[in-house]
Amino acid sequence: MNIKEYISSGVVESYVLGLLTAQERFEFEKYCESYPELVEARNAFELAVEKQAMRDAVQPPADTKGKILSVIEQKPASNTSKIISMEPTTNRRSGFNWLAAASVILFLVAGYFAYDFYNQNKELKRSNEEVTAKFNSVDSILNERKIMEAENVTVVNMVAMKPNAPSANIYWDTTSANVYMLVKNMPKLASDKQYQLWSLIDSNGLKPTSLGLFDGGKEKVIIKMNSAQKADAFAITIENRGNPGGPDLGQLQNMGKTKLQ
Amino acid sequence: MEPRTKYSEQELVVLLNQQSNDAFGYLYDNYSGALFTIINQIVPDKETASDVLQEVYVNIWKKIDTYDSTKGRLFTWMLNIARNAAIDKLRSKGYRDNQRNQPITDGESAGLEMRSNPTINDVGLKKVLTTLNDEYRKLIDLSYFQGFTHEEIAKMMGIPLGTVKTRIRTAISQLRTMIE
Repeated sequence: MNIKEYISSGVVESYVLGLLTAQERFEFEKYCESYPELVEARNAFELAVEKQAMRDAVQPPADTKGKILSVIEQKPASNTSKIISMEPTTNRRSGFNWLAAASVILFLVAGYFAYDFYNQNKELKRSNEEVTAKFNSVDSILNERKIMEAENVTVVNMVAMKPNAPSANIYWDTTSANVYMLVKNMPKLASDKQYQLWSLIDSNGLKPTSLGLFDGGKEKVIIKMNSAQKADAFAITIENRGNPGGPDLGQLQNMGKTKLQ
Repeated sequence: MEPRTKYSEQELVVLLNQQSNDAFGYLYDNYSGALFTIINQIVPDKETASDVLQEVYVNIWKKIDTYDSTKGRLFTWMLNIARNAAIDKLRSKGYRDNQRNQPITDGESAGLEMRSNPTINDVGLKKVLTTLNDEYRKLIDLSYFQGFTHEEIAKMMGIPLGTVKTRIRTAISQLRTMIE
């Protein structure tokens, strides 16, 4: 559809002034959902009408307000009364196009079933995911205990070097050289960035070795990183996704030593 | 009357949904003139127009929970309620019978002629209407101020339905440029 043509066809003004048929109105509201410029045009005309109407207002007889207030105080608002919509009067009377109405109703009913079906499907998927997630977390708790209780495992608390640094512990098994990272909180990064874990060795002039890149946005998971035979410290930096080079120490997030001094 | 706090439209809607009397008072003070004007342009008798205005405000109070801000501004919603109520009144048997017993006034000459009510005709949309050419003015008057369907107008004026539709759209596009 050519939205510019549609906007300048007079449909916007007809909608605001209540001159569209039920079907045309339904279409207009549907288009509003996908064309912000249509909503903008509608708003602009609404404001223009409102401004004009307010500027030229002729006050009603003075006793009207009192009468209205007395009616409202007698009858608290009820929810059972019939609904007044923006539907123009003309469509409620003769000349009602039953075929158009029937097609709108059919469309709505079909839409409802499609929507309902979609929701049920979504619901099933969601509960499936929930169950999987529960299994995974039970699994990871068991893993965590196994790792933590193993002999020769050094727990390294990663000290935050930046205010919004992630929070994590490194479990380093000095016998098997396995390195696990327990993520407590790892803020999500821009899509082109990743965290990277490094092992640092003192005698090596602190030459860093990458133990792997990983994404943020996870909580309470254990990630198995690359193995480290030797390490005096671990560090976490933020790097460009897939960083092939060394660490950007300006982006050093956490650091933790493997030996107490 | 002491000046009231000014509410934004959103605040008004929230407060009205909580049935706040203050917000309703503001709604009346701020908009009753504009709504009364449109009603009186459709129903020329001032007293009847004031009755319709009452009905309209009571309806706004009761139906505020059906207002959907994604479909338009609060004022537009109220304006449409007012217009619909006025047209319903104009067409009600009671109103027409009553008018028949009154001495004939300009306001009585419905149909293809413009009803003229000098106090109220030269403001708002109606004023803008007078700048349109005769044909367009007639069409807007019949559809907007008298609530005739496009089919009815086509029959009355003896022109095809498609032509009525296009002309009304064109007339209305012209209204826009004049209002802005």
